[in-house]
Amino acid sequence: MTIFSTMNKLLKSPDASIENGRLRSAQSFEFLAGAILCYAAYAAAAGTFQAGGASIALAILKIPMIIIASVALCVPSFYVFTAVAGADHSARDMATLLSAFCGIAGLLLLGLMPVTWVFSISSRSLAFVVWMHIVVWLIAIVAARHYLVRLTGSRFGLAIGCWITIVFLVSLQMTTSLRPVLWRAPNQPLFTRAKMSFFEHIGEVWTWHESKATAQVVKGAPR
Amino acid sequence: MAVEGRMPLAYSAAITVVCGAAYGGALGAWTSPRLAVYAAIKVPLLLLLTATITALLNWITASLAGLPLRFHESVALTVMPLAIASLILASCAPVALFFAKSIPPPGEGQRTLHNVLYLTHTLLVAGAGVSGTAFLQNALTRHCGGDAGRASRIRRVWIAAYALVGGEIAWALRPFVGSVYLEVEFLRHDALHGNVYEFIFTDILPNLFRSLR
Repeated sequence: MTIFSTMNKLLKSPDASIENGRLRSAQSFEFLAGAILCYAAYAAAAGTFQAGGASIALAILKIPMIIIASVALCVPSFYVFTAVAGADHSARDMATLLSAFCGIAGLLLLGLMPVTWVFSISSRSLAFVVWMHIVVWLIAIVAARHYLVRLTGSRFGLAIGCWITIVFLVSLQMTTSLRPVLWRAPNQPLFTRAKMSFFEHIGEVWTWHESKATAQVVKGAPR
Repeated sequence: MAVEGRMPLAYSAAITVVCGAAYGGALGAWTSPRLAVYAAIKVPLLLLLTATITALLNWITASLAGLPLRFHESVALTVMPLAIASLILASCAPVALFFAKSIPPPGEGQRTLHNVLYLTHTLLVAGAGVSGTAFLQNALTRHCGGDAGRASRIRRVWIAAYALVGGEIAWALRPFVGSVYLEVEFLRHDALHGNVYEFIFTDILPNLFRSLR
């Protein structure tokens, strides 16, 4: 219940994570756990694009992994960018800020989940759903950026904006590295070893066709 | 400490070496571990050589702008923004390393990827450099007795000096990212042939636009 009440508080009064001008570090774990639950719920909706429980499980496994790994990889840059802008965050402050960022992004994804679910179950184009998820993810992290700026102060706006851009790019490449996420051909392994850049991956998604993609995997072409 | 412009020279130089090496390692990792080691040596070298060559010019321009710094003060102020830039770059090293290890390795078919990577790193280095000089602005303003306008003019001249000198030294010390055609080597045999701006505007950008069409 603690996780839900903390997330509820984060949703209704985001500033409640500040107490006497300091961040309340005790909530980091709840924010992060709540965020992962939100990502999993969003992933379950996203996984309905390809009918079947296996594809939902695949999305639930990978989408939280993509987001958490991307943010984790950008922790050093968050610390240095905000420090260069004049912040003096302790490790606890950093943990609270970043977990609250993940929490806000998660809540927004949860809010948009019904919309993505409707489109996921009815769409047949992978390109459409991929672009939809990119736009939804952008909305979530831009809103979470506003929250971070509200917590830290407007003078950190530029530094946090640069950091968000890096997180966004890393999340695109992380998705490519952990593919397949939304659609998996029969007998395709859970993780792909072949290296690929995210813009090449997006280009491939753009020309995607289910029967062609299945045939490529059956033939053993790298994907 | 850095904000007030009192970062000791040895401290700045040590940060530049350690953080520059971390970023250099990630920069060269796309091509091979050998280039990663070479770039880890060359990035700190690039930054310190840039500081060495611009120090005299920076001291003279500051004096001409009415800021009579002692030479050692000018040297310390010249190295400080590069130390901060290398700190910013080092914080991006995990991300750069992740990209280097997850995208296809260099090959004849990866020219566009090479160009995108090259431009991204160039922009990142430039952004980190400009952020580093924001600290310089504070330090120069303090030295100018609060005259932010004069400090800003000096800072702009110093940024131009860093960009021109740094760009040319980076070109002479290439490769950093690597090449899709050429072998890995510490320095190219034609190291002093051409310059980085010529390369970006006559090779990288035209090829990138062609591949996007």
